Amino acid sequence: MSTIKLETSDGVKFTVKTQVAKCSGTIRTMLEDIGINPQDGEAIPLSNVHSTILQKILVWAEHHVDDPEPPREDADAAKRTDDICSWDEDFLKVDQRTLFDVMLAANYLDMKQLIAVCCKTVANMIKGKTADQIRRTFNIENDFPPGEEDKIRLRNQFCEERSR
Amino acid sequence: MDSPPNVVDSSPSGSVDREPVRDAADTMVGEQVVFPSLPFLPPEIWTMVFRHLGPFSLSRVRATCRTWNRIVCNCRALMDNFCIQLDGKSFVKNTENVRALVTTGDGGFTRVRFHEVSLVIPELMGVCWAPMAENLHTLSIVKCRLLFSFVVQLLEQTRNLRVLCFCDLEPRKELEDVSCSFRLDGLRNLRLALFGNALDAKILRIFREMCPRLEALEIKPKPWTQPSAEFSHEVVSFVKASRDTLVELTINPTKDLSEQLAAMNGLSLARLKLEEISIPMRELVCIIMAQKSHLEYLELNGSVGYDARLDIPKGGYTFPKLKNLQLYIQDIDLECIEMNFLHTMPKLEILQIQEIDFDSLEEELPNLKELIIINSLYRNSLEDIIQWCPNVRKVHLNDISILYLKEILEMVRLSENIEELTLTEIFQPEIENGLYDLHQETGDYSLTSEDLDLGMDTVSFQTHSSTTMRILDLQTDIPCQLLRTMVMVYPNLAELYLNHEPRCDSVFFVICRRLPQLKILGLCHCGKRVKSRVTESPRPSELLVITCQRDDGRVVRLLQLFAVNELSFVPCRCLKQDDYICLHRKNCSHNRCV
Repeated sequence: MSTIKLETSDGVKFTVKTQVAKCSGTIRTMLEDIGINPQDGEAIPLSNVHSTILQKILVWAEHHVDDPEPPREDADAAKRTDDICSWDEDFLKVDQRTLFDVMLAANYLDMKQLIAVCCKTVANMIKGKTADQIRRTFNIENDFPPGEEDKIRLRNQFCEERSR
Repeated sequence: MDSPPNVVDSSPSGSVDREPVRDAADTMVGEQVVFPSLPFLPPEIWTMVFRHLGPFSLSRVRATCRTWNRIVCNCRALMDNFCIQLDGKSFVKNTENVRALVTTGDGGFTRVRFHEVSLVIPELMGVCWAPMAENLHTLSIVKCRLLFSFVVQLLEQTRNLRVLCFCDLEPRKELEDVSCSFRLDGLRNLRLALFGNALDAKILRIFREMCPRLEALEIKPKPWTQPSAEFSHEVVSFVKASRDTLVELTINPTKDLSEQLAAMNGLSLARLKLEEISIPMRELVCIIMAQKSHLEYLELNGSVGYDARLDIPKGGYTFPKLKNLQLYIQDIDLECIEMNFLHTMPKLEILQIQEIDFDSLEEELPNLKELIIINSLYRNSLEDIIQWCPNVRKVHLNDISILYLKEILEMVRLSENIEELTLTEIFQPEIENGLYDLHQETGDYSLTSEDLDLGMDTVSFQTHSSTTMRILDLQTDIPCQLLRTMVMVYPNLAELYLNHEPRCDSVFFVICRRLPQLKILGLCHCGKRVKSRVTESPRPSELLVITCQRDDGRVVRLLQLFAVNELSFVPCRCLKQDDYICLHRKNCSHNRCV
């Protein structure tokens, strides 16, 4: 089975099955379009990804390597956040820092399915909370000048739900 | 681990105008800021996260911090979740706020609806609404009784408009001298409801000149009035002027109108809606037949008189693209609907029809996925549905006798494909002979199946169960015992909608114990929070309960009472006016919420 080497930002080298590595659109492009030849034994540098995060991402890719291409989602389907499979749910039970690092790396590596499931997880951390609870969840500073927050609230009271 | 690079600052920010993260820290003089004031994800990733949220959560996101507010404001797809509604009342109560909103435009709103604000708009013209107008792509002006010159002034500033709805059904006595020197080149979708007199014809002409690139046009004169000859003439001119780009047309056809449209060259419509039909059928058929090779959607809606026939010519043609046919023609001689014309529509997927007589079909309708029968009462053709529409997934039956309930269950069981069943206006014959009243007096609303003699006692999980059913929508009153039975035979239901809160506690027992997959329980009787308006999905392991009772104590109490241990519910969130309650099962991973 063909493998390739990946090198992370902290200089750690990983030997990965080519098929698993190709879950990343970025690596796929490097191999197919730019023509980096994995036989040379030279590692592909992933300068934006730390080894601890790549390790985690490779576990995900290994598990999902045989997933079929997802159907194109319409706008409504994109709003569902209750369709995370239980393996992914367990996989993403990590501290917030790690979750965000995974998202950044997945974005850099262009792994759409991983980003999507991370986004749903974060959306679920927002849903159902008041602004104050959201701030506490993500350690966000309320940086509105006095009165500004009330203004936004007032504006939103003119909003009605969009009917489909 | 080393602290990660500050990706927020190094990432391309696109069109998002970010606040420097340091701002917040600067305001806290002398205090050590332990956490960065914003989680370190770039705006484009936050945008992807926010796309999974509905309007409720998004408005809270906006109130969280300046950066998030900017991210939401700057994304059109996110702002499309909101529509600002300005009516007379909100204006009088919040004059300053409305004016600030409109004149600064910094809310980023893209959709506005003015409703009965005859006083507001002239006042807005005194100030300047250009900052807000600049952002708008959808504008509705409904029942505002404005001088038309005001409307034109208003539109002159909404240069990026894509959708405009102007509904003004009051007869105009005079029309000011309006000149229109600008064009809304981006406008794709124009919906007009006008009274239909000669002055409205002039308004049509102004819109025709203003909107040269329409893809969808709807022109409705006031229902059941005869529009003036000038008005009809202008409608034809409007369609003619737009025919190069027009793909969707909604009109109330008159005899002249349909003949002229049928004869028009260069018109190719994918979607045609003929509403408030009040002319003989054959006059209509000519316009439909002229578009037969283009149509993907066809809707006929109205009354054609008792002696009417659906005289669709026989043989030798097809509607090769038609996927969706919506027929609702009142008073038509029902015996005269020959179903054979359905065979001219090989791609048909969605069919709405008053009633269906499968006897006159020659072969099955293999592509049909969704079937809506408005008048299911007269012909008992339920078992035929499965035979003739073997792949149907959604069935909606309206106006059906409760006596057919067992046949409906039988139909679902036989199909193995039906995922969604909607029943509206179930007809209960017992109401007429007083049995129902008797039960009301004793406070027991639940008729038993014995009372109704429906043979429901022979319905059981073994004989009628269907594992494909996912959505059950009962927009009708139904005795509790029948409801229990229906819930029990569909163990995989994910969504259950009722238009009332069941009075028998036992219904909640069955819901808790027999429906482990249930995600949404709709118990709304006001009609505002029906299925199509659920804008946010629940989280995993969560049950979204939608109710419009202010006091939702009973529902929560019953659900908590009956849930078995691993399915215990804990009240989790309560959104906007107590309409939503969300309960999550114990042991779920979302116990962070309060």
